[in-house]
Amino acid sequence: MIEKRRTLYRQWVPLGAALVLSFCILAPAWSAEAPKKAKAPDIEPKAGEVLRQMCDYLKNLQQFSVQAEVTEDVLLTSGQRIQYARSVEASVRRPDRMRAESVGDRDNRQLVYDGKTITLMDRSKNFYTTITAPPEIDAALDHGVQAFNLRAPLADLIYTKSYEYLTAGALSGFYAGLSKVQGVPCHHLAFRQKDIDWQIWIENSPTPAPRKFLITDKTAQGLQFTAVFTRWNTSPQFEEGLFTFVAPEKAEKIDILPAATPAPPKKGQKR
Amino acid sequence: MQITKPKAILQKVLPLFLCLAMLAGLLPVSPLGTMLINDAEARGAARGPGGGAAVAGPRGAAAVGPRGNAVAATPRNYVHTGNASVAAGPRRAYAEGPRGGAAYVGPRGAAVRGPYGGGAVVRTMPVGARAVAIAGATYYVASGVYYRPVYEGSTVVYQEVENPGAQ
Repeated sequence: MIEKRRTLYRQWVPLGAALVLSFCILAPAWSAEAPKKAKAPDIEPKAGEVLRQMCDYLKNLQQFSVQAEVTEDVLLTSGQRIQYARSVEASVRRPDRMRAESVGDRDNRQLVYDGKTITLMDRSKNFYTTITAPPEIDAALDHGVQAFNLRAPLADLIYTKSYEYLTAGALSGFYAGLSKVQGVPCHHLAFRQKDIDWQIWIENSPTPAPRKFLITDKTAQGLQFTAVFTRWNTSPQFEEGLFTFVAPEKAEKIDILPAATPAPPKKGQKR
Repeated sequence: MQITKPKAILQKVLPLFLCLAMLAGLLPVSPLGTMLINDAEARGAARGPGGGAAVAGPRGAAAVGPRGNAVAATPRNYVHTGNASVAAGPRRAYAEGPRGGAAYVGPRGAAVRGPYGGGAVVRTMPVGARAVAIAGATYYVASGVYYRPVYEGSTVVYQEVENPGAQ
């Protein structure tokens, strides 16, 4: 025991220096994106092909709305794990309009992007905040994540570069077979990253939309996030004013904390 | 009380993190820190990766983490999945609980600094907090400590602030 500790102290300085360097390079908070220096992922060709078909299909949809049932695990202080649920409805009109509503066990939230600002609203608490955002969905989402740590696991599917973002941190991926999600036959793919494992079920049809998305957080005792997409509408009728935020009466505007380490993004950095 | 496994991990990992903390100049040596934790306890409380979640020391020491992220003693199985969120009261340190419940008090009521160099941040209000309106803005007050709602990422959290009525 004591000898082990002595050896550790001898290697202290170079190890410490290495740790400092690695902390400087790696992003601090977990996200689906990996360190930039990841080696080539080991993705089975069929899995890569099916995923790419889905991403191409999604990025070519000029507008769509989708409903999803989301369940998320939470670990209580006692160690007990319980699951919370919410319903999400997302509407996207490329290139610069987006809206997401999330109504669930714990809160009732909204995100509205109108090409200039992102507004976040918590209806249950009656607070909202506004962020100035770039004029295009991908850039706006990137800005939200980098500057303010906005976390939206399903946003990975909205990016036009969704394939790159989804596979950015992948260490491996394989085709797990065919499976039915709510009666719809799907391809089942499974991927591994350093901190999470994730799976996706993609419709086996000429419209390869995602039907289910599941993330297992390996850093948090296998807590899971699951989204089942219950309805895709690729020719929605968006009502007037859907993408404009109107503050409800008595809603209070509050500030938003900047991300803990707001490093300016380098050119070419994925996120 | 957690004993074997976390302690074994701590003993292996702690020297590396202490080195890192020293290199970054972030060991809890602020005047406030020295009043509240002693050496043994500082050894016990370690910092998690990326400045995030931290592990409580064996005697529940409250320590100041990197970049001012405050960490408080937590019950055995509590798992932080992001920045450690605690609020400092004049006499209390506690960790967030689910659904507005469980507030855990540090053993010596350590007062600690919060993240971003500002007031400490909690995700759920402590039991007994009440809302007050001051100059058109909503504050919450509990045990004499004032909180202002603020967004952190896409959720509303509460950040400790100076008593706004006294400004």
